[in-house]
Amino acid sequence: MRQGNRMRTFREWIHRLRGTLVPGRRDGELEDELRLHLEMAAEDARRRGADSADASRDARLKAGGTSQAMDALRDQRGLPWLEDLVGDVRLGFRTIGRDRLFTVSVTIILGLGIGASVAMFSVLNAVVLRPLPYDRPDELAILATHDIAQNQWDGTSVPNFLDWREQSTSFVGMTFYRRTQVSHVTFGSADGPQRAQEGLVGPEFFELLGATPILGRTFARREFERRERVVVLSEGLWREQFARSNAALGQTLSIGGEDHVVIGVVARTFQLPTSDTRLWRPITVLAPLRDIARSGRDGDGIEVIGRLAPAVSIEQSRAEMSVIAARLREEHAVNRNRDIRVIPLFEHVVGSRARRGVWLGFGAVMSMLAIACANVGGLLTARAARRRHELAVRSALGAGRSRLIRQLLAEGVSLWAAASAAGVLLAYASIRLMLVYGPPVLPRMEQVGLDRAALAVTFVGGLVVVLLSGTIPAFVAAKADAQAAFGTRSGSSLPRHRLQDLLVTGQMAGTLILLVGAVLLAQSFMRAQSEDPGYSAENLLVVRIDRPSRSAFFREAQDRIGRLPGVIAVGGIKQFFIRRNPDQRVTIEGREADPNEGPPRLSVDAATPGYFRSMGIELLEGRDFDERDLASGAPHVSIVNETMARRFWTGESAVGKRWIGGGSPPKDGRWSTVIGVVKDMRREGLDHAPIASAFIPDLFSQNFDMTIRASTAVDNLIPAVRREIRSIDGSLPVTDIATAGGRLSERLGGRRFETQLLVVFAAIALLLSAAGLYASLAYQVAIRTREIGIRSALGARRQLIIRMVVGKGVRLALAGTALGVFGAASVARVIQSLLYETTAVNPTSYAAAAVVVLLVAAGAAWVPARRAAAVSPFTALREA
Amino acid sequence: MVLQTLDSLGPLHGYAIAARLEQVSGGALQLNMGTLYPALMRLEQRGLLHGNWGTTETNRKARFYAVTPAGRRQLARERRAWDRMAGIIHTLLHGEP
Repeated sequence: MRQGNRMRTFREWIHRLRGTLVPGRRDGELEDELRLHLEMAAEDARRRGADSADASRDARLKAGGTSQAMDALRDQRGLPWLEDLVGDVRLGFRTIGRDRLFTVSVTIILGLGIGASVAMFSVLNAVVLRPLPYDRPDELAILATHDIAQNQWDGTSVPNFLDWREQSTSFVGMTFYRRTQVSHVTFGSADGPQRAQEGLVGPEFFELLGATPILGRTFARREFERRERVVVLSEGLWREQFARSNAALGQTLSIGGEDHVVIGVVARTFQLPTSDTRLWRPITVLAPLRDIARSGRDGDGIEVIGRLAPAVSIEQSRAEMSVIAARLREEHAVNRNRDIRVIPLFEHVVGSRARRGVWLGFGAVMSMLAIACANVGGLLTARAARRRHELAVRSALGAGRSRLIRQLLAEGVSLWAAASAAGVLLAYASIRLMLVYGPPVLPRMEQVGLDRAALAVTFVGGLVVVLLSGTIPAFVAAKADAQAAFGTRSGSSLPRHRLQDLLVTGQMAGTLILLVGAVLLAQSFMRAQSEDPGYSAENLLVVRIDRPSRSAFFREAQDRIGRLPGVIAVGGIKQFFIRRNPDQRVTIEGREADPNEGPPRLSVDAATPGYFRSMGIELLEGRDFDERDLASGAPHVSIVNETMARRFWTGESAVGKRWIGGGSPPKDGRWSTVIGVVKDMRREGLDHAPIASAFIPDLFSQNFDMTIRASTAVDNLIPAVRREIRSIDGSLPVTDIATAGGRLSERLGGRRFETQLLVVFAAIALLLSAAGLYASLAYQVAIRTREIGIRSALGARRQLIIRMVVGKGVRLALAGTALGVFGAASVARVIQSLLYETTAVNPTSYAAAAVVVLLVAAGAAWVPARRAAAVSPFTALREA
Repeated sequence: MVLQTLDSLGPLHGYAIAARLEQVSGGALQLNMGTLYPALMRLEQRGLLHGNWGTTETNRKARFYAVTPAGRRQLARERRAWDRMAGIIHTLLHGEP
């Protein structure tokens, strides 16, 4: 029975809800019914004997009035409270619409704040907050080898991996993949050969991660055992090469010259080992399982992922792996100095620098939002004060307090609606812009989209902000003087001004913090950019050559490209940018290895004769490689850089000294002799210091980077270079060709983006604070016109008045600056980790920012000051 | 609820309902328009009545209200509840079943 009742109540509500939007039974119809009632009542009365006039009047008295009945009917037909609300909101919109300047300002300011916040929060969510898209991602971790002596990270070998897996109980499963620095392949596409990052994975790779393919399946055990040529595609590759067709399954893709069968596709959110991995193959395409399992224990070609057992914590697993590492150190000499570190997968993928950077960005945006809100609050306060007369009148006419509040709230809602609409548009646009033009420096950045959570949070947040900042000042205003408004127009009312002043000071403080941040980041970026790379990046082309099919490729290329007009020199280097840690162990003749640290490590690269010339760097001593060094049977020679020479042969010439790769002297006595010393180059990027490097001569029959120096703008040469390469070897994908300057710049892309972002925020904040200060002072001047007029009449000179107003502005700015400096210094530690060669608490930056704020404040105060000074005493006094 | 009882007499227009109620209660129940018509609307919104325009014997356009099956069920329920309540109170006051 209860349910029946509830159903009927619900039904009534539905009808009434519909009634508020579309009146089901029209007023006219209802009136007809009522009129009939009255007529029939009158008839009855007449029938009973009353005369005509009395009858109608009596009937009407008995039956009640028509208009009251209509009111009651209308109330029943719709939902009165809802209709009132809608009416208030409509009124709110109309009122707002009339005050155009105010509305536009608030919409823009708040829209900016909301838009930036939503955009930033979307980024924060996608990059930092969202969990990884694998099964129970908190259980996943990377197991990395850490070289204790050299404090470097390493990959590990398969025998070690097998031992780890067997001996550990903290992990329910482990799998591995080949180190990504060496996992590029060429695959055949409709547009010719292309290069891509691939994942060469061990058994159970996909299963351990819990990745479900969006098409087909992942590798089965037998495909490893039988060394089958199969491939799993990324969603992106599937879209590009197969147009997302289901028929892709079973088709073949030529990879590394061999046909592979497509057996599955994984979603684009699957981003292991790297975010740009485009295809996966079983590691057995390189060698049979058995051989892989028995490969050298000192290898470092793989990286390991493990899944923790359900009840095991990371700390517990770390403890266990330490024990295992110790055991392996004892059992196998090659493992000496090797420790095992367990890193949560999330940490590995997102990285602490990216996370810090994004939180910083979020903090900056929140500051900006706070400034925007304070600004809007100030504007609303001033407006509320202006309207206290109107509110007082309404109150006198009978509007209850709650009704007034409701109307004010409705206005706030209208403002909020306008600002939110603007904000959402802005957020959408800026996210699109970021995805297209911003550098892909943040992990998982491609997954950023307009976030529903962000929208929800911001809508609610924005609503709260507007309602608070709209109604509190209104309260203060209305309370202060429902009566006073009818008397003389009162002068300044201190409490209201204090609120405004507070808001302005707060804005200045926030602005200062943002400015300091921007200045610091800018300094850091410029320092990084101005570092000398050690070579001349002007007019230098770098071309990636991947597996030329002819061993004499380099010679021919050097010859033909060297003859192109404008080309000065052509050289080759194994890797233009160093991507691995220095990991080549060496023994220096005449020096004992340090018993604790083991043989020193440095970066050893192969380079062709002419490489240094193409890089535009000079040899400081000795000579370059030449033909004799390349002849078979020639003595081993090498060229070292300054850092290495300084490190091992301080005070003497390195030329003639000898060393050898490996941990012990050469058995056949054949050391490598140093024939030259070359200037240091920054080969990890401008913001990494040079490392000890040695170069050995090679002519490259396999992968290498070709360097081409020209005397003129090198971009024009790109098509010609491509043509020459293709004509020598048609199977080479020449997609990775860029200027050295462009590459260096790319590497700084992250810093540049951060700096640009923060500068934009700081500029906006500065603008807002200036506007806020201006508005506040203008308002105060307007309010105190009479007082100023009096002072002027009493002889105050123009300058005094100007000084009074500007002085107020500067005082507020000073207070804000002081607060801001304090705030910035507190946040300094967070920002320090992002800076290059810059201290987060250096006085120059802070002073510079403070000066800017004060100057801007003075400027913003100038206009109201002049206006105040121009007040003629007569007009002011007349206002009395 | 009272209206329900009345509607067992068949579809009536608003005035007729009021007149009938007044008559049956001996003048005690005098409904004015502001009470009657909103109540009729409410019952209609709840699905217990159904209203339709029709003509009276004197050829005037009037809106007639009729009970719906749901309305009849509700009426029966209410009647039972009322009877039960009345019985209990009667027992309490007069001390015998």
